Amino acid sequence: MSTPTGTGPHSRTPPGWPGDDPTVPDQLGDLGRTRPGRSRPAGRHPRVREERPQPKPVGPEATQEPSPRPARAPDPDTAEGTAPAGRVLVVMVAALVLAMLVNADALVARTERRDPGPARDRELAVWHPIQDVSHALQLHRVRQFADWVAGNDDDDRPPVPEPAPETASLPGRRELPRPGGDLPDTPPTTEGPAALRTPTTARPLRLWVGGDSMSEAFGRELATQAKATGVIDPTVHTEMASGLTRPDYFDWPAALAADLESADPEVVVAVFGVNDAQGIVLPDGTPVPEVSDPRWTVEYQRRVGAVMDQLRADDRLVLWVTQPPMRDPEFNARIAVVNQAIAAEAATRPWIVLVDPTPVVGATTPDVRRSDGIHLTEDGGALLATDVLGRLGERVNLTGGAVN
Amino acid sequence: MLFPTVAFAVFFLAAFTANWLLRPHFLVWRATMVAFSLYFYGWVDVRFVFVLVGSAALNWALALAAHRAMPLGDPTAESRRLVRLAVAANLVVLGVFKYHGFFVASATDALGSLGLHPNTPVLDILLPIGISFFTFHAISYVVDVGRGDIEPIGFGDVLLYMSFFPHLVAGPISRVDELVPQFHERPDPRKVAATEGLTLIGLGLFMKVVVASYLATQLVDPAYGAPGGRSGAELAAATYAYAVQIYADFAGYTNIAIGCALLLGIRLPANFASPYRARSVREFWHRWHMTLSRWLRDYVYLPLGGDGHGTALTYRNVMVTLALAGLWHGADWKFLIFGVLHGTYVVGELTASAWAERATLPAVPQPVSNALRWLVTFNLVCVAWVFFRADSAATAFEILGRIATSAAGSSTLVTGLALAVIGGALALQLGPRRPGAAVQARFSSLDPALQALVLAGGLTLISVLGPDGVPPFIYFQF
Repeated sequence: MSTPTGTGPHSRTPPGWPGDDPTVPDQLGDLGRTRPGRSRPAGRHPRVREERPQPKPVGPEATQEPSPRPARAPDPDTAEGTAPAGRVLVVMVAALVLAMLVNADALVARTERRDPGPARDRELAVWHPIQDVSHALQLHRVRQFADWVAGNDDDDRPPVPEPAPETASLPGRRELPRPGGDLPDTPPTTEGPAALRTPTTARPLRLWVGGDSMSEAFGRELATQAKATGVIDPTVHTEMASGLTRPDYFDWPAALAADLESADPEVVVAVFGVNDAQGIVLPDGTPVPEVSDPRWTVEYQRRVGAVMDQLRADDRLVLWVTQPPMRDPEFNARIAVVNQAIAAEAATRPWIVLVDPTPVVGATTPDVRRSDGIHLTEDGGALLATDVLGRLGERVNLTGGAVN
Repeated sequence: MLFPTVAFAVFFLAAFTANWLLRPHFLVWRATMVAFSLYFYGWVDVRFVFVLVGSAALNWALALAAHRAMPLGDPTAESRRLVRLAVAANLVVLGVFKYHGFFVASATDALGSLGLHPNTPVLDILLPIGISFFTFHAISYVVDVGRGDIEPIGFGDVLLYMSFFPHLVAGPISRVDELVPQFHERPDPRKVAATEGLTLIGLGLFMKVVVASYLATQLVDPAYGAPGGRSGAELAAATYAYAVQIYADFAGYTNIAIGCALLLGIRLPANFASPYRARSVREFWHRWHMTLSRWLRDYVYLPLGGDGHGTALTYRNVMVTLALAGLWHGADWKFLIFGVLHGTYVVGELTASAWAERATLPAVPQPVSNALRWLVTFNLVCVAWVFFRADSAATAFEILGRIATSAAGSSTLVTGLALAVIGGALALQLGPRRPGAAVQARFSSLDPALQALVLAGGLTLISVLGPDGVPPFIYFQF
C-alpha cells in the first residue's frame, strides 16, 4: 500500500493519521491477507490539488483498462487457494448438511426454547426430519461426544440474554403496563408478618438483601441507607444472571441456606424473577421451554413457594420485591407471568410481604432504569431502597439509634 | 439476518449459486444481487428496505445533479450547494432514526426544568440496523462526485454499492471506486478464492461465537453489570477482556463479511491490522476500524483543514474529528468522552513527538522503548474502552475509580481460562503475522470431501464451544 498522505509537502494530514504510517506494512490484513483499499492520495482533495486529474470512471468503462487496484493483483498464496465455483458450492453444501446432521439435537433444542409462533413451528418442521435422519445415522453421537469432551452436560451453558429490541423509542416518561397487573403489596392473610423487636445501636437489626441483578444497585443503596439508621446491620448478596429457574447455573436454595445460617437475618429482602422467564426443567427431567406453558407456572410456583418456606422464621420479616415493568413489551409479558406466580405463592404465605416497585421505578426512563430498559440505575436503586426502608420503618421502630 | 445462523448459511448458498450462474449477464446479475441484499436487509423489518432504497435514490439523484452542475469538471457554487444538500439530507435521516430520542428527551427535560411539561410526541421508531454504514457509503459517493474525483454511476450501481449484503450492516466502508468497478468485472468462475474466503468465515465465526461470547458472558457482562460489587482487579481484568471481546466481535464480523464477498468474487477493504500491537494511539487508529478512519480523514478531517494551517488548528481538527467519531456511536456523554480521550491521546503524542525532536533524551534500548510504548498505548486504549462499554459516563468513572483505589480484592470472576483467552488473543496480535497461511495452504490441498468434513467439524466445534444462542454483533447497533 502506498503511503501518500502526511508525508508530502502539501499534505494536510498529520503524521499519524490513518494511511500514512510507514510502520504499517503493505499487507495489512493479518487475519485474512485482505489488502486494504487503495489510499486516497492527499492531492485528490480539491483544495490541495494543483492540477485536477480527470474524474475516474467507475462504471463499465472502468474495466476497459487494467485495474490498478492492488487487491486484484495476483497473489501467489491465494492463487493456489482457488477452486471452481461448482466445487466450492458442493463443498459448502456438504459441510452445511453434515454440520446440521451432527448438531441436529442442539438445533432442535435451541429452537424449542424460542417463544411459540409460526416461525418456531416452521423451523421445527425443518429440524425434526433432520434430527430423525441424524439419529438414524447415529451422527448425533458425534455432537454428544463433543459435548462430553467440552464438559457441556446436555446444554447447561447459560443462555445468551435475549437482546433488547433495537428500538430508538423515546425514553419518555410513559407508564408501561404492569407485569402481572396491580399486585397487592401485602396479600390478604389471616396472620400478619412477623413482629420484630426494636433494634438498638448495640443490637442492630440483621438485614439480608439479595437476589438477581435487580438487587444489585438496589441492594447496595439499601445497605447504605440501612447503615445510616445506625440500628441495622445489612448483608448484601447479589448474583448476576441468577434466578430460580436455572439451579444448574446458580443454586439459590443452597446459597440461601448458607446465608441464613451465617447471617441469621431478621429481615430478608428478596429480589428474584428478572432472569426467570426462560425454560425450566421439571423434576422428572422434562424440559418446558415456554413460560406460557401451564406446566412452567406450576413448576416455577413450586420453586418460589419452596424458597418462601425456606425463608420463614418466627422472628423474621420477609419482603419480596417483584419485578417492575420492562421496556420490551414481549419481555414485559413474560415477566408478568413470573410476577403472577410469585403473587400466587405469596398469597398463601402470611409471612411474606410483597413489594411492587412499579410506583417508584416503573418508568423505564434513564433516571431510574439503565439503557437496557431492565436494570435499575443507582438513582433508581436509591429510590426503591428509600421506599423499602420506609415500609420497614412502618413495622419496626428504627429510631433507636438513628443518627441525627 | 445475523451471519452466525443457519438461515444466513442457506441464504448465502443461494446467493453464491445465483452469483456465479448469472455473472455473465451483468444486468440480471446486478438485479439479483440487489434483490438478495434487500431480502437480507428486510429480514428483520421490511420497512428498512424502503429507507435504504429511498436513501440510494436521493443520493443518486443529487450526485447526478451535482455532476451536471460541473460542466468543466470543477466544483461550482451550484454543485457545492447540491452536495451540501445531499450531506445534510443524509445526516437528517441519520439523526431522525438514531438520535431523535435523545433530542426529544433532552428538550423535554429542558422544558421540564422550566416548569413546562408539554405532551411531546412519542415515536416508536425502529432503528434500521447499519443505517450509519450505508449513510457513510452514500456521503462518500456524493462528495466524491462533487469533488470531481469520480464520475456519477447509474442508480442500479448506487443501490448495489450501498446495499451489497456482506458490508451492508457493519462495513467495511468501501469507496465507490474500489467496489463498483468490481461489479462490472467478470471474475473467472473457475478461480473462486475459496480457501481464503472459507478460512476468513471460519475464523470470523470462531472469534465472534466463541471468543467474544465467552469473554462477554463469563467476565465482561457480570463485572460491568454490577461494578459496585466487584473488586478493582476484577474490573481491570474485565476491561482487558472487553478490549479483546470488542476486537473479536467486530473483526470477527469483518472477517465473515470479507470472506463472503470473496466467495462472490468481490474483494472488500481490510478493516483491522492487529490493532493491539500498536505502539502509539495514532498507530492504533491505523490498525483499528481502518475504513472508518479513512472515511473520517477524507470527509471530516481534511474538509476541516487537515494539518495545513498550523499546529493549533491541526490539534483542533484532530480533536473535533475524533470527538465526532465518538459521538457517532451514540448520543451519550460516554461516547463523547471516548472520542475526546482518543483526541487527547493523539494530540498528546503529537506534542510529545515535537518536544522529543528538540530535546536531548537519554538513549533507551529499542526493545525496552518498544515494550514501554506498547504497554502505555494498550492501557490508554483500554481506559477509553471503559467509557465505551460502561452503561454511563458516571459508571465508567466509578469503574476507573475502583480499579485505581481497590486493585486488590476477590476475583471470583477471573478464571485461568479467561486470562488464557485474553493473553492468547493478545499474543496472536503481537506474534508473527499471517499465522493462518500454512493452514490455508494445507486446507486447499485437501480433497473436496475432506474439505467438507473439516468445515463441518469446524462448525460443530464452534457450536459446542459457543454459548446457547447468538448474541448480536456489537457494531450492529451503530
